[in-house]
Amino acid sequence: MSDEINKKIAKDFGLDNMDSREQEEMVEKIGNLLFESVVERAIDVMDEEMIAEFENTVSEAGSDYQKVIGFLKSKVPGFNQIVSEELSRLKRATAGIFA
Amino acid sequence: MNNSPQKTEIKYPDGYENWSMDDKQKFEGSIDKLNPGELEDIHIKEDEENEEDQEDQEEHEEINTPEIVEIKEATDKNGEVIKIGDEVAWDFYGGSDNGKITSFVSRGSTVLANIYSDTEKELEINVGNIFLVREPEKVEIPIAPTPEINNEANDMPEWQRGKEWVEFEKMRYKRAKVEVEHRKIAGFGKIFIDEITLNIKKNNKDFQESSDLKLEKEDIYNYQKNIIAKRIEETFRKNAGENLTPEQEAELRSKINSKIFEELVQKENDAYLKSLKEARGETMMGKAIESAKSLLGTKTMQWYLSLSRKQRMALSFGVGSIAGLAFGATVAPGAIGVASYLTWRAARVGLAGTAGMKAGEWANKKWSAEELEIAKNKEVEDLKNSVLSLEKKSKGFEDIEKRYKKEKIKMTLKKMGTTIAAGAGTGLLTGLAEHAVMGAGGVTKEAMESRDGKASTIQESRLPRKGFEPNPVKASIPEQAPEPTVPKVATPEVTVLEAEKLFEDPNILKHEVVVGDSTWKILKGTLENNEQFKGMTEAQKTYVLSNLTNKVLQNPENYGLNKAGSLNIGDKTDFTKLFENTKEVNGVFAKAKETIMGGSAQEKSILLNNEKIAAWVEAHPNESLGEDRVTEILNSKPEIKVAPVPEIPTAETSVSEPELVPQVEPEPKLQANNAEILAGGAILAGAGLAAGLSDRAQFERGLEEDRKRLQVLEGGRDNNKPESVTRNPNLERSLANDLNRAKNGSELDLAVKAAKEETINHFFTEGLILKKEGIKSKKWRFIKDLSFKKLEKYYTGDSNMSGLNLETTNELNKSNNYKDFFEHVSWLKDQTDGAVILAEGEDPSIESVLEERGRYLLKNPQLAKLKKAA
Repeated sequence: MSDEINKKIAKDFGLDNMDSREQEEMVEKIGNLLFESVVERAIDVMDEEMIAEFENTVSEAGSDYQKVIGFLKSKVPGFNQIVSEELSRLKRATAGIFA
Repeated sequence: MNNSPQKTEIKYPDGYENWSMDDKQKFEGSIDKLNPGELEDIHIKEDEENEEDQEDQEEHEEINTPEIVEIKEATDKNGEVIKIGDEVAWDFYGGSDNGKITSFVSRGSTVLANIYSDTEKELEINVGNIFLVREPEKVEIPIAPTPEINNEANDMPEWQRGKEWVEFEKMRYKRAKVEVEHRKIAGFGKIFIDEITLNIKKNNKDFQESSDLKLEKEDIYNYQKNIIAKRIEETFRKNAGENLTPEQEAELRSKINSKIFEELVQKENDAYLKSLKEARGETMMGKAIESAKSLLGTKTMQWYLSLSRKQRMALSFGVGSIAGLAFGATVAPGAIGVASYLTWRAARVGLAGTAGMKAGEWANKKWSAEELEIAKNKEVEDLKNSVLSLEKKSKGFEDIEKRYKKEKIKMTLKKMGTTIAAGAGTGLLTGLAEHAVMGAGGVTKEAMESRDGKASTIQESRLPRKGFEPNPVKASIPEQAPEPTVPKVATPEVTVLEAEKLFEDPNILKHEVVVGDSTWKILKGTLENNEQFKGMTEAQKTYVLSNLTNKVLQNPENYGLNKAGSLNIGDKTDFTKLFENTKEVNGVFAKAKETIMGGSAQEKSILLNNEKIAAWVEAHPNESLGEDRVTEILNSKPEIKVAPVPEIPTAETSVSEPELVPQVEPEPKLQANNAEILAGGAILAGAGLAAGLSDRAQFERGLEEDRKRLQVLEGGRDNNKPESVTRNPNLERSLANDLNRAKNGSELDLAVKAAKEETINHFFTEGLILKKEGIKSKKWRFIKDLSFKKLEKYYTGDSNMSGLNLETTNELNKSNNYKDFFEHVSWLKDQTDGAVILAEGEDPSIESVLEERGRYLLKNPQLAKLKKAA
């Protein structure tokens, strides 16, 4: 990730006061939460056919995570909106609470 | 008379039965009214009043008064406002859910609420009634009280003691429920009942009050959250003491933040996810779908957790990641503005930078690792500063990633003295070349001192100077073909510990690089400790090593190699991660055994190429074996001659039949298992191994039945006696024979059809959760009409010259199913001992070729018998 994006993430999630190592750990945790909630939301809007397709994509993806992202982006209606909402929710969750 | 359900109740939260009496009473007392968020869980209790005379029903419909539906102004997904006073109907759905009869309240086709009833009778009374949406009474959303907890105990963290924590947890739960309610989508009508949707009329007084109330509550929640965060900090600081050094202070702050994250962020998220899943269970979607969604969520998270940390980060926040678009919204003003990414890229031609590099320049460019990295960063920066839409930028990022990744692998392989050949055969050829140089023993590599003298780089592109002995080429099937091994059934959990299952001693996965090492060599040495691998033929091992080496080169840093994928003396490699996913590794093993069978075209091809390279190395001991050279060596294959089309002896098949049988050379070393598979109908044999024992047994059984049926129809002829030996149908053709053949042909057609479908289902069936038969899959529909010859060229020759268009090759690249299926159809040719070949000028689809070869094998079980007997 570029420094610019790192800084933006740190700022958005209220991690500015942390050192880079701590920031990195925290961003990783947030990333995990983000992915899980985005996936749950995405699955919620899937119909039977898409469920089967997505399962297949995940099974075949291996370490090629772009396959999974590509699927979600192209097939899930309103995916960007979901991501945006989940990001906002997590930003609210972390805002102003860290030492 | 009251014609509404006389009593309603909220679905009780999980764990309700364990609550204290006080909590239960509090909960019950708060539920006398419904609010929009609970509309989907109206339960009708059976009581005396529900036993009213059904004759009143008509009267009910005329009255239109019962106001059982409470809903604030909201919109459905189409933006239509559902207003107070709107009429909604109570319809009978007739389904059953957990023993309850279901019906629903709807407006038009929009489902507003699911209603559950104990008996059908009650519903009959109410079905068709029209109700009015009424204004909800202002009641608190019932909060699920937490079970009684003695949170004053000394072993509780300080911030969790006292009433405040309990209240906070309640608030967190409630808040999560409300948040999910806002996003809830009902199963049928997919309406979105959202009390704060933008479509709500903002001048509505009630809304304003509600909104203010919501904000106020959010403030209270955040206030409480901050208090708890402070308490956590105070607790840690108290325990840490005073006068901390800067390092201790930093460590303490890290611990505090970690705990704050766990208590306040993680748990808030858990509550939210729990509510999301609960809401899913409350919709009208079928239980099967609900379970499938739940399983899929788990499976996806398992996959996610199997990624490396770096990959997970890149997935969530990297360029082109799920969040990348949201973060990458900053656009530099004044940059060029064009309509598409490709146009943008094209517009870069003439400007400085790699984005403008012409195709030819790009292809011929000799990159160093540094140049590659710089060029990539520059392109990414350029793209970021463009005014393309986020979507187009995303495509651009993907394109850049793909191009540079490919270039990186090429560069790495080149360094290693290997080649990268175009097309699907790349992996195999890659490994093969390296294997010939590195793996056959006697390899000399030079340790090259780097400029600063600190690191020694192993230059693997040097040739062996002495002691290199080419492996003997095995022209026949190995004497002891390895016992087919059923792939291990991998457990869903992928943990580091699983690598231990492939190797008794996990320490062998770690290695310190010495002179003479290569990735290939280290991996080979490691794998020789695995019994499955140890028992494989040379060609099978080459296949496995090629696959795994390529996987390593995709993310070399994960295994202790440097960025460019090369090794330095003293480097410590660790292949634990490579073998973590036992399912995947066992899959590669199984695939090797399945596709590189003794005497198969694949084995011959690998061994032939081994021989070619080895021979060249022997003949040119002082020459460098570079990328171009290997390509040249491997391309010097003899021209493949198309066998002449034999006379067509029967009406139902275009393949040359009996007269070719005697040409089958006995292969005494073929294992019984293989012979049985052939006897059972070779059309599916290749698939069986990959599918595991049960699948394979099933295939064999099915085909054995097909075969027997054919034998019966053919008058119980002795299939042990090859047809071609006893008679030549070309000479014996008669009207009777032809009639019999025609008659049997229809049965044969059925057998071929059944076997074909099973084969297709094997390769293309999708989904474990919600299965979709392969024969109905999109993938099968995509590939079935493609030219077999073009596919052959694509997968085994020069892929760029296959004649397949870009869209087709893109799709083929998306899934290994296509390649596996193609390889299987190719393999069938070997099983016919070359009797079924494509004539010059013929260009059948892959489906036709599958049918034709399958037909021949089903028709000629004596082929297998002959092999078996021999």
